[in-house]
Order: sequence, then structure tokens, then C-alpha cells
Amino acid sequence: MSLTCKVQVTLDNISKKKAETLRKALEPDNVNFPENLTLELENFDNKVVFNFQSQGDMKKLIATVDEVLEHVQVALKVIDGC
Amino acid sequence: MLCLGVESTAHTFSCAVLEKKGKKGKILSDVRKIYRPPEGEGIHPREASRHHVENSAKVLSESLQKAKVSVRDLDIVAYAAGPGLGPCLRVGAVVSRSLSSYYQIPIYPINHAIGHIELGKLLTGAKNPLVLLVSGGHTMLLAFMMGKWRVFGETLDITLGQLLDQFGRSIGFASPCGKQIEDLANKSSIYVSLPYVVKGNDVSFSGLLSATKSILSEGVENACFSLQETAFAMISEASERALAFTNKKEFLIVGGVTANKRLSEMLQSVCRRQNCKFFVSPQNYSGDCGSQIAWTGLLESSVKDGANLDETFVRQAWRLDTVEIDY
Repeated sequence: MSLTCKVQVTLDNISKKKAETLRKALEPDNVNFPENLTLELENFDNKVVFNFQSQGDMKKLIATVDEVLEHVQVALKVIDGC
Repeated sequence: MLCLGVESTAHTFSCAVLEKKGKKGKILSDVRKIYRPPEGEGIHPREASRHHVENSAKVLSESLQKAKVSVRDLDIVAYAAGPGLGPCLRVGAVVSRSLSSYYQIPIYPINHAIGHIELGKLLTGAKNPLVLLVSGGHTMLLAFMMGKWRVFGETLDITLGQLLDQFGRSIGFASPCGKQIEDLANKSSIYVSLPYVVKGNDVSFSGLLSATKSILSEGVENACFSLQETAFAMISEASERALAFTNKKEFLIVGGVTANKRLSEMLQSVCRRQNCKFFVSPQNYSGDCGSQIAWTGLLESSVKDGANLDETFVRQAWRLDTVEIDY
């Protein structure tokens, strides 16, 4: 029996434009994921939702969440800093 | 036309702003932050990418400030899409896509190796050279023919940069180790025999690396001297044969290893024999930098529109001989 783990991260209180930018900035890297690990990205109005799902390998899930959140931080800093 | 170039293929995170007027390019800024692994260790991709994450916004804003432009003045954004380390490439891609999407700026994914060549040509004035690309990621002899850079010889295993770095790390240096090895080599003139492997026009360095480690007991300076002499002679032989075959009248070396003066000396002597002009990329711009990416982006923008954001992937193993060049 393998363990299934779902992680949902919601970023809200950002503008619709920033939410759309975040999705567009991160979506192209949502390819070639390890087997049994998925990420779905959605943006609605002022919100971006990341749905991670993993079967079995928690380390890969944690590493992926970590990297995606770093990319969110980079994108927001870049937009706000310019 | 103004372009922001973003480089993040390995240990360097760099942003540069270049201006193109007609066929001329001008570097307005080139800001870099380099990840330094602990002594004796190589680049850990995830650690390097964390370094890039921490420094990206600061490097970007410093680059725009130095160029005295705002992000809204930029006509295009170009980023190094590969080849390189996946986690590092993704940071540069996210920075570029964010700017492109938020500020509606056309975006260009650029092959990092072609960036080395195009900036080398811009800065040296070489028009149609045989190119030796020697860095941590590449060891290739290239000539432009029928819309593509064609490979006339390359390493069969590790690159020249990896050879120097891996040997340097084995004696306790931190990457990149080329300068320390060159300094030690300059203190010796005693050659210890090492394996010399040129197959056709390709070279192989992994046996040379192991053998050099095994002669350390004969003195570290002697080992460094013998390593440089052997590896650079192999490169010189392959270069001379490629020059004779292609009949090119210009030879350009680009990439981080061009900083090594002994390599330049040996290749200059090859060029003299082949009656060929010798060009070397300026040291400030021979390593990885945003200028390479920005200039290549500007060249691409002269013949094509920017990429769709949803197709701006990173490609870790993107070979330069697969890229069609229309400019």
C-alpha cells in the first residue's frame, strides 16, 4: 500500500494581473515531473492555487513544493522590484 | 532596441542590458552574482539555484539601474533556456517569464552556447571564424555552415573546464580552479608523461584526469604543468586539423577557459602555422554572463517574433548544433 499525499497552497490577496503572471511564469516548468507526482495550477481573480499530489515519495513532494514556492517568491520580487 | 539578458545555466546568475543599433551592439550593464561551492566540492544544482533565487531580484534591479533604464524601456527579454542545470535554468526562466507576462515584453529563449559565440564575435569583430568553445559545460570546435553551427570535434566525456575543476577540487581548491592550476603550472617546466587521447577530431579527458591525480606524488606544480601541456596540446591538435579542413581564416576562442594564457599561446602558434587570424573573447565576458544572452536575443529578434510564454521551456541538454540560425 502506498501513501498518497495532497498539498494545496493558495496565494490570495494579490492582484488579478499578478495571479495571472504567476501562473504564466510557473506553468511552463510543469513538465517532466517524476512518476507519481503531479502539480495543477489555477488562477481565479486575485488568487493562485497550487495542487500537488504524490504517491509514495514524500521527499520528492517536499522538494517540489519547496522549489515552486521559491519560484513564486522570485516572480513576486521581480514584479514588485521593477 | 534594448534587451535584458538573463543567464542562470550554472553557478552564475547575471542580468545584462544591451542596446542594438543597426548591426552594432553596446553593453549598458552586466551584473553577476556567482555561487561558490565549498572548497573541494563541485556545484550542487539545488544549492546553486537557491543562490540564484536569493540574488535574482537584486541583480535585476542593479542591472537596470546601471544601464539607466526602466523595465518599461525594454523591447525584449532573453533568457538562457539551456543547456545547463535544471534548477538553475528554471530560476532565470521564471524571472524572464514574470517580466514578459507582467510588462507585456516579447520573450526569447536562447541557447547558452550560441550566446558565448555571438558575444565573442561581437566583441572581437570576427566575421566567419572556426570557434573553440571551452568552458565548464562545453569543449567543442564549431564552424557555421548552412544555417547551423556544425561540430568539427568535441569531448567524448568530460569538458576541459571539468577536467581543470575536478583536478583542482581533488587538491582542495574551490571551483572554478583554472586560475590556481595555471599559477601552479607556471612554477614548473618538468613534464611527466600523461595519456594523450585524440580520436579523429574528438578528445577524451577522463583518463587524463585519473592519471594526473596519480602523479601528484611527483609534485603538484609538475602535475599541473603536465596536465595543462597535455590537455592543451590535444585541443591544439584538433583545432589545427579543423582549421586545415575548413580552411577558415579566423579562429575564435570563447568560454571560461579562454582566460588561460598558456592555452592562448598554444592556439596562437597553431594560427600562425595555418595563416589564420586569432581572436579571443575578452576575459570580462568569456565566462557566463547576461550579455551573451541579451546580444543573441537581439540578433534573434531581428528575424523572428518572441516565443509564446507557454512554450518557454528550459532544455537541460539543448545542443547548439540543433539550433537553426536565420539572422
